[in-house]
Amino acid sequence: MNDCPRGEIRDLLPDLMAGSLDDGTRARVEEHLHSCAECAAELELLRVARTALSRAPAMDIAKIAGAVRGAKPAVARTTASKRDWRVAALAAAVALMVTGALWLSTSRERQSQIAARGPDTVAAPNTTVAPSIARTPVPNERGAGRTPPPAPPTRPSPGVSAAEVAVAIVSDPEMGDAELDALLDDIRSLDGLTELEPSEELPSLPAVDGDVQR
Amino acid sequence: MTEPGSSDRRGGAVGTRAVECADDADLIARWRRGDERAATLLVERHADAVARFVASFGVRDEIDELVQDAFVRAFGSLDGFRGQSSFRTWLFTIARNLVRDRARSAKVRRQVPIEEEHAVTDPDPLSGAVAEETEERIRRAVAVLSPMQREVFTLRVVEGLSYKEIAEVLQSTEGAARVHYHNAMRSIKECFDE
Repeated sequence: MNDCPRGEIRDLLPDLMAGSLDDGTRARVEEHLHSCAECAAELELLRVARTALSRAPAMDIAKIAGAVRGAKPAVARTTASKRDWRVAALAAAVALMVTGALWLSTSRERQSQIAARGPDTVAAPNTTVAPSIARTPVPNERGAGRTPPPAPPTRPSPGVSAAEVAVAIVSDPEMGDAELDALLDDIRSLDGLTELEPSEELPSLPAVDGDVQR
Repeated sequence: MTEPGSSDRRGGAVGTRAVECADDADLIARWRRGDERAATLLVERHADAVARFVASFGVRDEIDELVQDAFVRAFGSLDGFRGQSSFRTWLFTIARNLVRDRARSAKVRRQVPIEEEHAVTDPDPLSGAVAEETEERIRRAVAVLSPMQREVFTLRVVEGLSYKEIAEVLQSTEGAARVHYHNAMRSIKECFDE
């Protein structure tokens, strides 16, 4: 079996067989086949080869499809894990702030007791922290184009602790990834601890007998 | 270059419903949104071709398992599919790697021609002793090709892939694919000239 010298035509014979040639190219190849015995023989050989090699066991489509349905898209898995990281980071940051707030609250209470004053008005650290979270209707503050959150945490009532707010935020399924990111940014940039530090003006201690008044 | 997500050029049983007429990219997008029917359609559309391709390596006993593995891996790693090649080409790439991995681990390279006992998926089987003999001669000629020549020839002639698509599957170049194809053709013709 000899080869036709028109290599570019022989190259197109499998495409002709597959029906993937455009009209112009197909017409050109078919016209050549009318006058070239070598290419016509090669095309026939390719057709027989395709038939001879197109044999394989019948596949169980339902079984394969069932196995495929058990495979989650990696995109969904990656997205879920990133979201889980953000939620965990947010929860950790809030937990840290709550712990700090509780410590300061306890510390102030001790000072108040020493100063023989009533319960400090800073039950405060809890509500001071929460507003920092609550005042983050993130998307609108950060520029145009973002979709506002469905129900951003609002200023909590005095009786609501930061821990409760944190739980509400963390468990809010409606909070999108952008909102979580923004909340984390807010918490990182918070100087909330500064607000919780004792005021510079310390409560004055009651006079003790024997002190020299000058 | 094959359009991303192109549908099966050989056609399957494409129904009239929109989802069944959707191209591969549409079906992949539907599956990502939770449409399980889309996954079934993609399997229906490409399973036979992947099975033929796996069988072309001389694999006999584990074809269905390999085909299933190829689909599971493909769907499980869709983030790695950027749509720059056809979905079928990508499946072939995954299947090829699976066959090679198994051959390496089994330390067996099978070059057994496909047995007649396997069900014929070609809807138009040849009849007649002469045709059978010719087919058998071609199968023997293909079986003695080098692995690369056999893969290129099968992908080009049976699956109708372009040289560019073949290069993607084999992680080679178009030029190398073209050379392997023509060398394979020369060898097969020499078998018939003997």
